Amino acid sequence: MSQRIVVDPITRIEGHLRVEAEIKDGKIVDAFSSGTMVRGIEIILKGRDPRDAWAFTERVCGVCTTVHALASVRTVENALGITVPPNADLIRNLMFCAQYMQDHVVHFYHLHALDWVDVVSSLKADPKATSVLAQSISKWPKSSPGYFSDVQYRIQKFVESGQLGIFANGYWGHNAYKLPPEVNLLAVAHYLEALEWQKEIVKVHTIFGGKNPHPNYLVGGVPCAINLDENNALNAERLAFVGELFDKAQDFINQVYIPDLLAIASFYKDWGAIGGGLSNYMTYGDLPTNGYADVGSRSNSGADITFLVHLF
Amino acid sequence: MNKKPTLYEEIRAKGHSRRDFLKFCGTIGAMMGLQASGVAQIVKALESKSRIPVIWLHLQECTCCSESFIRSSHPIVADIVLDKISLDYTETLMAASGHQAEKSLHDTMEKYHGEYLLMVEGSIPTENDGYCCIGGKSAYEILNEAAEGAKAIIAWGNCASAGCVQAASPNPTGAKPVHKVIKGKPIINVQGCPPIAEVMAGVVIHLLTFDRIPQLDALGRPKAFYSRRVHDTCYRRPNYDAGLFVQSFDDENAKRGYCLYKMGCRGPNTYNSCGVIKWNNGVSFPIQSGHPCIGCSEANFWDNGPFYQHLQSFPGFGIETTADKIGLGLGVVTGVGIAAHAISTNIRKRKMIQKGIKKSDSQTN
Repeated sequence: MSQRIVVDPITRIEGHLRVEAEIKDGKIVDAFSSGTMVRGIEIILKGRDPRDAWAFTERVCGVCTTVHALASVRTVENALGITVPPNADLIRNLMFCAQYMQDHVVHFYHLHALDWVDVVSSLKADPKATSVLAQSISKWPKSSPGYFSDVQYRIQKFVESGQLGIFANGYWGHNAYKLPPEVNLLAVAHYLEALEWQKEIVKVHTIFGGKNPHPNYLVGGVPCAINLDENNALNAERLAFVGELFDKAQDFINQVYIPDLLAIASFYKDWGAIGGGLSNYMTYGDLPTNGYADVGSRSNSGADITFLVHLF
Repeated sequence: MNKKPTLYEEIRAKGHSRRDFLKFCGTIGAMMGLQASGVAQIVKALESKSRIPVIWLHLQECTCCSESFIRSSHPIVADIVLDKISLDYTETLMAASGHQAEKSLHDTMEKYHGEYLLMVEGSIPTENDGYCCIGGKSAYEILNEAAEGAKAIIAWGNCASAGCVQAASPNPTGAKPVHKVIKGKPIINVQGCPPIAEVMAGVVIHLLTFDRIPQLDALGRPKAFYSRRVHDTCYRRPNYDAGLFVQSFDDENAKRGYCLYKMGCRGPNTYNSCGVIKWNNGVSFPIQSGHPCIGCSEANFWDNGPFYQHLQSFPGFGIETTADKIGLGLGVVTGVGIAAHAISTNIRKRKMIQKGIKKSDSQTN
């Protein structure tokens, strides 16, 4: 006997998604997914000034803000035979990298983690054991027993208030959640930390593009002028700011995000065998240093990262 | 109900000191331009009130408003206000999916009927219900249902306030803002694409504190954040007054940070806080980073293009009125006046500034 399950809305994504699955003898035999919202941006773009197109295209997504705008200016430049100055390439690359870093962390903790991390189970954790575990996988300084016990107390108070907010009606306690309470507490603590962290690295966009979400782009280059002897342009202070933001962001990614990703994934190894894996992905490479048209000057985006991203 | 901890108690429980709490109240108060007595009111309100339930709907949108909201700069805002409003339904962050998510929505609508705040991100397609459906219901149906029991509605961003990009010509889905489809409820239009994070937080704090909607302009935007033109609060304004303009993105004037009016800047007819609060904790704003304002907090700004062509006919309207209300003829007349002002402006001042630049150039060389 077959049964149909509908999940609508799929949450913690950008946009609106509906998934339907047909189940026979306890197994999914067919599945359908549909985007359930349309705005017609392609139609709206017709007949517009190509210099404006990036702004329309950028509004395709505010979570992965900036990448659609970048694709748009590259497309227009390619069509019109425009080569951008080398500094513009570098600035666009820095903006792209900032997005790449911010988006991975937000996707992991705030969008996807709650499918693997049981928030309520973290209340049963021994904060000392979480601290030992955290210190064994990373040198991140905020891993003391007191830190984790504070986080646990905050979650305890939150649950006791009876207003569960974004955590209401989750599958808490379901046996598909495989993490021990200590790992759950680690992940919940870093969920909150990452929420603070993510608003910092995007300041790279604010420096070069004036705002985030939806920084400004420009066909033919970038709008921000470089003038080391002027306080109205990119000068040593602005560049040092960018450097500092990247350094701090890298620390968090290397010492929190990647160790957490590996620790959590180790409890869900069987999920690695589900789905299409790498069989149907293409990577073009990015971060051009000699114009986007020069394929040889782009770095490869790396299949191993792609694998992890699609697993989580 | 009374057993629920107050916001202040929860802030303390989260390990923040009373001093942190007062600092937070002071910052928010300063942002809203309040006197010291107003700040005291914030302190009192947040100490004694429990969390207000919030339903945050996502309709035809790109989630940039949610993303901006989580960028709230002061840690205490991201950490506390995001949680403290009891965000009972938001597709972007909630753990539950499918029927469990919908249960959260209906539970809140039922349990807190007449008490909850409705926040809407996105526009409503009116050409065909199928253009935006969630849980098998149309955007219009969902919004109508949720609006019925709402205490007030916050329309986040340009989509919910004016239709934004999807309402640009030819508006294929018939996208409309909240105030065009919902009547009889207080609606606050928090404009921008997206609105500035601290503006979003400021509006929420105002509602929590004073338990009433803030003063709004003719377009339903809070005066606290939308009563000044970007042009009037722009740090490059003296260049405009002196007739010093960027003529091309790669000229020397761009490197000196002159006025972007001739590059198409919409600062002169855009009401927003970009020049005052700036973006992402005051780091910069579009003009400071060399790009003209595209006017994202104004209705129909997408069709007011091309962006890089300067508006000779922008209307020089006052604070209380809008371009829609002033006739086109009047707009052109005042526009010409302003354009003339921009070209044949204070020559003496211009000479003085140029002289100053030459002097500093010769000093550095």
